[in-house]
Amino acid sequence: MVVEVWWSFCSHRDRMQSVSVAEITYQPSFSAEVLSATDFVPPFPKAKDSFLAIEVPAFGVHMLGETTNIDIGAGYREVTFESFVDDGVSALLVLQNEQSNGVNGDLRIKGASLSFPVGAHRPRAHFIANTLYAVLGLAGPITVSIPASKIELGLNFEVPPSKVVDLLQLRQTYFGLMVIERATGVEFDIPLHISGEEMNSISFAYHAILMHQFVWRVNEITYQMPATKEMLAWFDDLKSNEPNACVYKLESGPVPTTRTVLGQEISLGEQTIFIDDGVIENRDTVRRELAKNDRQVVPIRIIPRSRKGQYVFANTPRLPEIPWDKNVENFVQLEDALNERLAARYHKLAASTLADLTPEEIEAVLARPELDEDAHLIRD
Amino acid sequence: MSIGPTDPDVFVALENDVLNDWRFRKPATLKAINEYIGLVKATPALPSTTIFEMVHGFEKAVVKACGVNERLRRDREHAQELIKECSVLSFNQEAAEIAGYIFPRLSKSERNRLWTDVLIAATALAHEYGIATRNRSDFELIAQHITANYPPLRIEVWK
Repeated sequence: MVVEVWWSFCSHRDRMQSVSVAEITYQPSFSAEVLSATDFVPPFPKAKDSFLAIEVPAFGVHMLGETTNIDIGAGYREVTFESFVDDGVSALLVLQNEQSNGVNGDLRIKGASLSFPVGAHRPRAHFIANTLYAVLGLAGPITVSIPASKIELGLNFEVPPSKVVDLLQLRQTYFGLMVIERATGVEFDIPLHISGEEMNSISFAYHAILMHQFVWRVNEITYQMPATKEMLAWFDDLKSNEPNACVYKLESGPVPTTRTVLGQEISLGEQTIFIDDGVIENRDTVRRELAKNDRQVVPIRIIPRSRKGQYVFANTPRLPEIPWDKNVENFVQLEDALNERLAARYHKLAASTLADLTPEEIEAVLARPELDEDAHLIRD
Repeated sequence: MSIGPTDPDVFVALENDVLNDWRFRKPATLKAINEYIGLVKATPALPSTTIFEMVHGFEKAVVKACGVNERLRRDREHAQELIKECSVLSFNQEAAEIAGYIFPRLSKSERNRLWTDVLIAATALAHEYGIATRNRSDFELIAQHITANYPPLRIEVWK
């Protein structure tokens, strides 16, 4: 049986690190403070005749999805409405109800939670679910309604900003994976943990595909040069960028490059690295080895002073001109609003650390620690 | 609009003066933090020494007032919440070794003036972060003494 389900999403805004491990919580659920609620009056229409609507004024967002399931538990004391959001993502509204006046009184909604379970652990599904969680966490008061059941709730989700940070940083990673998938045709499954190294690979591949040229970390480059007259001449011709220092402009490549992203090898095209401030390790020894002219391979280790280089890619996989459908595009367009709301939360918190103090107290609070005159006495 | 993952070399930590500008809602600092959040989806990190300076300020005021009043108590709690909600860079073994190398290479007056900044710079370097500061010259002075084993200290001026 094919059940027709849909989810509309309208936006009304005018404009819309290396050892760490990202832990992915597949099924978070945000409990809400119930600001206002209608009475809870069963019975309900069939699931397919009803819709779940979420109104988020702070983001100018109105979401509407057909209810796909209604689960009634414990004599209506807990009722769950499930609605379709996108492939592999649904919205679950759980209402906790109590009789307002003894066992025969009307049911009142006393508690509510909202979650966006992800069925298929694909980047797109997680990107959408994380966007929705972040929106809820930053939204302030929202309205959730099921018009066919005459249910309307005013809800407020109090989510600490650091939790929103986690959601948004994972959202960045999921978007990076979506870009790689779309450009290469590879499909990823989201694991329970993403290591710092994998995050770095995702980020690098994302930059290669979208930008083709970018500055990135280069800790060192090693050339493998045969000890020949030609290589010695090349070595001696290197011009230092700085007087009295051996700092060189160097390039490496082009070479076909791949990165392993979540266990899959991704071809990124031909990579050339340009370094402006390369220092040749053991320069004198390297020169002596090259001068032997015995065709032995001499490793030349270059360390950029800045530990950075300009990466340039050719024949990189590219995104199609219109990479995303309307639903994904709507979630992408929330980016600026999410950033602004998160920043505002933090600005308010930072300002609150001085908000109640008198000018004299502020002066005292901002005084830097001082040590006695001789605290740092070392014979200069 | 930067949606995807960011270059790890944009992460910065706040020294005390920029943190205070943020607390005062100085427009230039708010703008810098807005841009940073747009890229990183988090605030700049707080090195543990910056936290020491902020907590020290409250405790010094308490000592000066011979006790904690309601205003100080409330804003000290807000400060603790801010710390809890930000990423904190600990002064770890590597930071201690970096600071231990730099410190004796500064003059006595520099040590007296910059001792907390040395600890902050060392912490940032140990965690591969840059520094957001109002005082480029102070951190450049400290950065002169960083060994070649480390990349140069990334200094961003936010004022």
